[in-house]
Amino acid sequence: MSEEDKEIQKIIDELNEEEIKEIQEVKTEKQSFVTDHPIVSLVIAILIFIPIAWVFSVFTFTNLLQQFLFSVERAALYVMVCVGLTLTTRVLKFANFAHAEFLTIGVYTGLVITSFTNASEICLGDFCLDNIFLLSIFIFIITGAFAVLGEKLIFGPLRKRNATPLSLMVASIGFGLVIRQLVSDFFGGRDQKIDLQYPPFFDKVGSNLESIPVLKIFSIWFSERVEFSIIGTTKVIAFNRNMVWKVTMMIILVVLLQLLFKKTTLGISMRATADDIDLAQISGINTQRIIDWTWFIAGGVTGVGALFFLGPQAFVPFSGFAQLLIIFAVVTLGGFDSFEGTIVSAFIISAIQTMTILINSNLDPDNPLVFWSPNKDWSLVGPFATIIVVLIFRPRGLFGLVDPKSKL
Amino acid sequence: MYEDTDIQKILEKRIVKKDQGYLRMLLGLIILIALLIIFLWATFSSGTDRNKQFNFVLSSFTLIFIYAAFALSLNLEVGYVGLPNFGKIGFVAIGAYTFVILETTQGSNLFVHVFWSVIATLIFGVLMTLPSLRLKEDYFAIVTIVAGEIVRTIVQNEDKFGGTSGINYVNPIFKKYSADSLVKHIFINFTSFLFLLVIVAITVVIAIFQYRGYLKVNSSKRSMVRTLENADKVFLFFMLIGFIMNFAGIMDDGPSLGLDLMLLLTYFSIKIAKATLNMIVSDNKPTTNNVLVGISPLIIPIISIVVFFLLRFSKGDTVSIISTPKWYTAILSMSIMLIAYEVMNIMDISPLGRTLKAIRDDDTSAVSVGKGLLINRLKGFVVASFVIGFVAPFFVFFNAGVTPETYLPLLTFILYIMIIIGGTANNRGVVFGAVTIELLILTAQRLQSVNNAFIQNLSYPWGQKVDPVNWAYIITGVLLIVFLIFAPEGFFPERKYNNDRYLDDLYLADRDDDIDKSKFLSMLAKASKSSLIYGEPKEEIPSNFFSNLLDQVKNKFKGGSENE
Repeated sequence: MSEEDKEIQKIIDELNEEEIKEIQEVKTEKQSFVTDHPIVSLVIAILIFIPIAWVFSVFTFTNLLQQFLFSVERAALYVMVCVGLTLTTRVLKFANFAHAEFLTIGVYTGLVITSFTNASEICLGDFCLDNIFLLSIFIFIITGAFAVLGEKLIFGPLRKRNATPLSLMVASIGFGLVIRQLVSDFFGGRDQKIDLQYPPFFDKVGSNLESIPVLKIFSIWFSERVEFSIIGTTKVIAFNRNMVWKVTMMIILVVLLQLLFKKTTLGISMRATADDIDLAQISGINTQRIIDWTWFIAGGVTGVGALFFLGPQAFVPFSGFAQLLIIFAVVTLGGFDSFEGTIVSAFIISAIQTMTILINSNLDPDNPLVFWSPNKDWSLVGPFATIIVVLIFRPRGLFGLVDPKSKL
Repeated sequence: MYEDTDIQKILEKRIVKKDQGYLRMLLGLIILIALLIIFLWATFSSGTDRNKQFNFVLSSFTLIFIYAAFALSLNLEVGYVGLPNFGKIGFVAIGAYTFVILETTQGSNLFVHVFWSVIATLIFGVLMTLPSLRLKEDYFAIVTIVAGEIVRTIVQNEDKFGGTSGINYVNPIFKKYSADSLVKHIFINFTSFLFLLVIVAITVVIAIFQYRGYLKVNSSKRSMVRTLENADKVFLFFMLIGFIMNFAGIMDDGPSLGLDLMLLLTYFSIKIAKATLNMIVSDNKPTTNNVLVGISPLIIPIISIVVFFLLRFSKGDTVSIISTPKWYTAILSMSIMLIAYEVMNIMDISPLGRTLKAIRDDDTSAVSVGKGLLINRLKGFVVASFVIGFVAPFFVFFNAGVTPETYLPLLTFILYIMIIIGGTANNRGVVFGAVTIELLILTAQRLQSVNNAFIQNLSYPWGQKVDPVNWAYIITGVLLIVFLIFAPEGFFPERKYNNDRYLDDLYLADRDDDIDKSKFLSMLAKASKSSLIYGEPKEEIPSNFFSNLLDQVKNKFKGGSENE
């Protein structure tokens, strides 16, 4: 035992039982049930939504269920699009305003692959190049590459010169501007659209499944359009294969990221780098490589999310930028660098957005208590007002931990 | 003992820094002039309607000046207070909408409604500052950007605020004169002549009294320059009043172009006189000749005023050459921008400005010497919001009303780019950045419709046409990134006051106990006052300057220790 070890042992011996208890209590306080189990928190968020929606709505059960499904769909899209921003913010400690441009790159990459190269003819058996799963992989790689390019050309050199978070933010604005204008110059401002293509065998499987009564529910993953009627009513819930696959892709993504963070060396080093970059470097982690991987994964995930988010509707080069604020709203509400927080807040924001639309569409404009025009588009005001109120009472969002180094 | 090379290194470093700064500024000015030439070429070679082309130039400069004023205000928040306000455009929207709604519902009353616009912006500014104490930088950015977007959504959705199409508004002054006769007189009449003489006299009287006051504490040269500095502020105030009175028809039966020109000429002559005085008059001992040469530019406007007055009798009047209200908005926005610039310059040297910089650099130590965090940030934001509330009505004049699409968050981002490229916390740089970036974008807009086969036929291999506006934004973005990486201080670096110098000197003095610190400091202070080191380098520095200085310092110290 060296002298230092002896000294430490001495200090530990001198601690009385009460002090040890205090330390243990602090430790247990930090480990909250919700933050440690993202899937649990996800379920909680969904459960919160249902009673609120009941209170505010005057709908039938079918209608409510329908809105709930739409809300979940939107939340799934938000999760896919926002998780990347959470990742980069957590590791690099600045708000990346160019994140919205990863959406643009992703969706335009999809456009190029599907339409410009006659991709439907490039097939390997049943798998053609433009089916969503193969397309997702390509988009992942290309958008990720663009994100890494940004790191190599802009953010890396800036970090080496000890740039402040503000100048990193402004640099990301410039990066976003360049990408956006390049895309709009190359492709023009026309409305574009990507039809999500599924492998041909999906239809066969779907039609087979529909004939089996018990397994019919699984056919929504495979067949073009399945409608469910609730027992006892004639109302029909609109279901869509796209909708189901958006949610499924989200779940796959969340599980994969969880596995990455918890099980792989890369994920663990990523978390170490996020917590303390110097300490990580001392422990032998190649932090630059980890940062590159962070950008690659963040960009790729966002690009794939954009295929589902923007692809099916008409999009223009500015569509990605238009989603910037809602993405930031989701990430900020979750605590800016908390992975679990982002997932939960995606559901919360989506629920609030759905509710804002629902409540406004059912209000009577002639009611003197309703001092605003309810027939207009207020869908963004609800989420925005929520994050301002939440940030005033919880300055680091719902799930953000207080940084011990911060003076605030 | 201290090393000879230490002092030499520090001194050399300063001179080199200063030179680099000037080179960069010169480069910036060359770029600006080149842009201006391209802009004028593009404007006058697209279309054939001269009147339209003049209109475009005038409205371009109106927009440039208004954006410069916005950028100055944002610079106070970002550069001095150090809070990243990404919702600047929300402030503008609040001011503009308050003004327009009051004007359209209460009847036109310019001064009162500008006042209420200022008040509304101030309240919004104070509300936005309050969360800054608790929020981290990036969270604050999000809160402000989101608040600005909420403002925009509200005005877009509410029919009371005009809805999607906005509110059209034209000031009665524009309605009063038909477009053909907006400028009735090229020359000035007797009332205008009298007005000009009176305000010149007032400025001179104030200058004389102030000069005597300054002389008690400063050297003659410094007092003279400071006096002129204040004189141009006084004149600026009267100039704005003159513009408004001219167009309101108080001076005459119709607006006179000559009066505006004379006011502008006098203002810029005072500026030029200040610059020449600063250059020509040697330190401490201004001879009569020097002073006369220095203030000689002031003679030009006085002669021209008399000439413009006399010409009226020989040539007659009622000549209309400019048939557009754009002249009015351009001139007004320029004087508003100049006022904002002067306010920001006062902020720069005032105790409040220095406190804000201290808080920005290190809030913990600023608080520890008794500077309140919230109250100072509030003061900074109040001044910035005041400027916005004052400029927003003129933005309304320019747009001839309000539409929600004008107040998108993209505009805030562009303002940030202007600040970074020009130079954070340097007002001159901010104005330069605003002019350059906006000019670049406007030039690109003109290039879209220019009569040039090469530019019109540019296209990509897949058939998409090249859009100059997109490329203007791309160039802007690339410039921003290049500047952030290689020159984060921008074209015009922030002016550092003496703090660094004292730190270096203390550091040197600390290293040797034998040195009598007070004597060492006074010696270095003397050296620093010499215009050779800190003033503008007028003459070449002799090669043995540093060694001589060093010898002097050494001798002093030797002498001092012997005496003791």
